Amino acid sequence: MKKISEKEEFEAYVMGNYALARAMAEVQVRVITSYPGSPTPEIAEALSEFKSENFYFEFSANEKVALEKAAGASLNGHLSCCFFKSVGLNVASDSLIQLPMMELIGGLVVILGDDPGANSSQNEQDNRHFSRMAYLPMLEPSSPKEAYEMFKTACSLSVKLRMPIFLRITTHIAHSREKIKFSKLIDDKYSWESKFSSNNGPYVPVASAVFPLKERALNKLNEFKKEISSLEINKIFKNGENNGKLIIASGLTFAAAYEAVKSSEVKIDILKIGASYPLDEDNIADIIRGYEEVFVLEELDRILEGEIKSLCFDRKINAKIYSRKNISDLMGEIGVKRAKKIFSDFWPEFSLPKENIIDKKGFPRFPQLCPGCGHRSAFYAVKEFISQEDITVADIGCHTLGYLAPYKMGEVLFSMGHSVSTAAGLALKNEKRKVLAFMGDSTFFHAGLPGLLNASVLNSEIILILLENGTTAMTGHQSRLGSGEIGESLDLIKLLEACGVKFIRKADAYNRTELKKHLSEAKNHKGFAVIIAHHPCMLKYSREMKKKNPSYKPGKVEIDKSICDLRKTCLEKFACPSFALQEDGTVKVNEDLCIGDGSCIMSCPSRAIKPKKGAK
Amino acid sequence: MNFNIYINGVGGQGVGILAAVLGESLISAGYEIMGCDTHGLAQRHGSVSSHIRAGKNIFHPLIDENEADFVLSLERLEALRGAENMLKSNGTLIFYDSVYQPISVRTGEKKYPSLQDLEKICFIKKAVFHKIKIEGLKDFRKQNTALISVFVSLAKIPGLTHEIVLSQLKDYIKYDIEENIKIYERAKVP
Repeated sequence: MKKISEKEEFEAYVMGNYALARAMAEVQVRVITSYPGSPTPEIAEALSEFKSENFYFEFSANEKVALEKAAGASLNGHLSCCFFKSVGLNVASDSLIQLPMMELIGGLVVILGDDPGANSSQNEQDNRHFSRMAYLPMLEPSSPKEAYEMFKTACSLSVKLRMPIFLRITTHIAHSREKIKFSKLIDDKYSWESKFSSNNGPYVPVASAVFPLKERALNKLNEFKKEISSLEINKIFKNGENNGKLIIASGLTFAAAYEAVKSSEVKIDILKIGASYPLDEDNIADIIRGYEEVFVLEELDRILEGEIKSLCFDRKINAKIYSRKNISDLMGEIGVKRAKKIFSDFWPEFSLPKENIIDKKGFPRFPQLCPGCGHRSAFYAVKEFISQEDITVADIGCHTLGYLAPYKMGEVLFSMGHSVSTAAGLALKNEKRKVLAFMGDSTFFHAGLPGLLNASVLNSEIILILLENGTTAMTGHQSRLGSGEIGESLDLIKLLEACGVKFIRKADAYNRTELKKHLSEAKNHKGFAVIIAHHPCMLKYSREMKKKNPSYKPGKVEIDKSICDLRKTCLEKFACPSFALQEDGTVKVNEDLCIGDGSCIMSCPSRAIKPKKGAK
Repeated sequence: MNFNIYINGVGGQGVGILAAVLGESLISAGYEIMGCDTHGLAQRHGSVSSHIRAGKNIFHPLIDENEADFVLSLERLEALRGAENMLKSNGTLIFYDSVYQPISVRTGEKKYPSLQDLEKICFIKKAVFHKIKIEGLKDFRKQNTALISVFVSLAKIPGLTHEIVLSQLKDYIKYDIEENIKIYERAKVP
């Protein structure tokens, strides 16, 4: 198996994210920044295999910081790239929207990992809208191989036009694999010369100074259109005979449409839109003129459809333009079967044979907090402490899973870092119901700080429980700012004190007695209170131990059957996945899962759970 | 020859490695393939699946419902859902019979499926049912090795030999390679 950092030309079966990292190395992107978020973090995993003196990489505090850092590097003449997940763009958008007005002399490609189907996100927002709002061109690959090629195209266009360019991938391009032929890497000494000059600007868009910059951005869109019309980014796929029907699609939806056509053995042509903004209108119009019926197949929002209809209207093209009919078709991913079903609403040749409906007995398996997770212990203690009418606010991270049974902790969720401010709003003029907010430490540094300052300075009547595990666990243990793994380590308590927080307590999340003591003090405290419930991420810990010593075997706990009186608190309330219900109604420890952390021991009212002797 | 392989299990069981080894092996055997890993939110203990699609004119990486020629599962409930949702009529279900109770089972809200439930769905779909359980297999992370060995034995995909798969396995597996090879050999179906 060849490494993705192989120097020479090679061919490999790789995932889209790895192919993107390879493309970055081949075109010599100099500065790469990100904040971890599915579906993109494996790009960083792949980058870690390359020699780092040739480029600079960082996981920044959040997506806005990451984008600004990449843009700053581009202003200095360094080819830069920033990547993050779909909703990360909301965080980055304040600066993003300015960038097309700037002469980014080094070039900047922003990779968006959109998530149709909301596989791992709080929504399935369609980031194609941002292109239109920010005058920012977008390329959309339809496979990992195309992602690799298009990234390179995006870089060369970005350098040439000195403007940022989006490369929009979706979850199942990032995570799908195919065989790709890679080019060789060029090894050189890069000078890192700072080329920033305000002569390349102006870079300060204030009041009426905005207009020349905006005009330049709009002109660049036209230049971009000219560039793409000479490239094969939008491409017509003919299927033998023109029967008057044409499908237009982009990204992975193109792949679904193409396979739908091939496997239905219909002779319908397909236009793949690789550059989805701005549209190469004249050439697209010329293609459409040859057809009577056009189906615009899109995933998520109806964006291309409107623009295609408008360009046809302006040019008096009379083709009938079809699109998705039902609200349900505006949601979720579109695979091959679904594409056929959607087409068949207008074109019966795509009709699918009826499938037998079977009685299904399977049920879903929701994700759970890992064995030994400090969040579980914290939730368990808080659950015992709070009363029925209290309100709990969740944030984003592993601890979001607390909303599921049996903890049911965290009843509201908007976005990264929202919990403290949303909780403060819920607490306004509300003396009867106590409001508790949860937040993880990576999220705290990402977008929690402004909310925390607000709550602290205005003394909001809430309790913030900071669940500190020292890492960005959910996306694969990327270092979090201030953990000491990268850069300086930060003392969370000193930081909170400096932010003016008067009530700060800290306990190991496993220590239920101490946590509950802090909670009751916090409840009696007038004003904003912060409790840090810390415990290292045990999954990360276990993996590190195994890496250091491949024969590492974690300890185990066992249930003393002579003591256990089957109250099942461990199983139903503490609910570590390591406890299994036996057919005879007794409880057993699943030793495949148990890591012997012992966090469950305190949950047993009969004290029947004990460390297993000789387990190590 | 076109075929779809749907692989699923519980996070932490090694579905990803199984899919990578199988994907590489199919390429070595001369197939054109697309693969895709799908995982939801959590690091562990949620459902995880991988799709492999082999053959000509394949452009989309995901297998549609009821279109998997093979469902390979590392856990019984996952096998049931895989068979119900993904398995084609006349397809093949091969699963390692491990049990990981989801929270709904542990709290008594749901009943964990029986082997009969699995046999029944295979009967309805006229599918091959093959259960694997290796007595004395201590490390649950080696169940995937047993599963791939049984798959190669039973599926009889032209060109996909045990030698090819073993050489890929050696490339991918970081720990206990010898133990894994032993399990592979033991699990082979004549």
